[in-house]
Amino acid sequence: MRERSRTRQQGSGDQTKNRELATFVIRIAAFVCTLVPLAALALPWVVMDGTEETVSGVGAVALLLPPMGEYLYAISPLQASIVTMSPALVALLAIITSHNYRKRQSVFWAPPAMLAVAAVIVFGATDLVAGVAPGLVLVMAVAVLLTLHQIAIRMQVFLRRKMKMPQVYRALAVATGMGHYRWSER
Amino acid sequence: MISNILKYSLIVIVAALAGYAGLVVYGKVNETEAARMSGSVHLAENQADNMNRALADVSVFAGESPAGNASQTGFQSETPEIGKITNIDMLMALWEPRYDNAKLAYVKFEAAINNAKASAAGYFATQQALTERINDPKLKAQAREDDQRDLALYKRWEVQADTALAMARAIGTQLDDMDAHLHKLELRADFVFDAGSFRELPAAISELNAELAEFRTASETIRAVTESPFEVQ
Repeated sequence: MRERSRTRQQGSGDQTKNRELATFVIRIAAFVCTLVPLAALALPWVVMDGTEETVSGVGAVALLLPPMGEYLYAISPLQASIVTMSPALVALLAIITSHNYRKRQSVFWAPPAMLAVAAVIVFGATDLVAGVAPGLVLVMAVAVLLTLHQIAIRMQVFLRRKMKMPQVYRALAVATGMGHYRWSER
Repeated sequence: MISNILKYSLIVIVAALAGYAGLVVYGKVNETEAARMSGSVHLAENQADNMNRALADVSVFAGESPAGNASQTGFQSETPEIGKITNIDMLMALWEPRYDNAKLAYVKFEAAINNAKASAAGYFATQQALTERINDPKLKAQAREDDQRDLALYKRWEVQADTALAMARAIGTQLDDMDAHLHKLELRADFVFDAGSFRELPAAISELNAELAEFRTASETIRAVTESPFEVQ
């Protein structure tokens, strides 16, 4: 009898350990995801109309320098601002998101804002941008993932507060990396 | 500890990105005048090609429409179907995207030429300064000769670019006129006006008027046969 109880306890302990490990891994993975947009800024970002050259996110900011900056602003000041300033905005949003993820804080507005900024470059600067390169596609994909992550976190928090569907919110706590693990912050 | 590891990895990534950005900006700032001018001329030539395509696309309308004249624009119609369109909405649906495209192409071409001119000024100023630094009179004379040849070549390019721009401007004026004409047609198509509408009275009124005499007779008859209490008194 005692033996069986010990085996059951051991099984439960293993399950808890696995859950903690999964929580930890997902937390780290989510944090790494927030760093991807920063790395993507060094990758090919957009194909510029006219020159047909692919520029990186950082290169797009450097287009502000004359004479290219003057050329872009002569065509459309708004679209030139979008092309040249947006990578800096993406970087800022990525740093804010990353910083909050590091502290295990939810920052619900930043990933959708990043997605919106990327979408504005793709759809709002068509006079200057002839094509989208993998760097920007990667930013959009990561922004979508992080947005879904934020939605899952919000759902988990809502269910926990309302004390509804405990199994679901416990599972969400693991799936979002918001749950607890023994190696927490020490 | 984990939080610290994440913090430092974020700092490292941001620092690496800042360093890369610095290198890119440094590279752009220190780009040679020749590379800058070469890039600008290449850009202007690409935009000239784009503009030619856009103008050819939209000039089809100017050649086929009642207001247009293909001989003036210099473009022959490639899509005779457009000339057979009788519906203004269909014609506008074909015209507007092409016209907007041509206008944008013109703006880009003009900006690219201005950009190339600005780069050329910088290039020739630097070239002249470098030539002046040469001390040997023979070498200096040779360098000046080379500079003059480069400048003459560039001036020829500039004249050609200005001519192309002037031609594009002339075609653009005709396209503007065509656009105004088409919008007038569109406006008129929406304006329904029948000048004969007030010459005749509405049918219901005239018919009733025709029967009015009969109604009057009937009312008199009814009055005659109906005894009014006031008349009795």
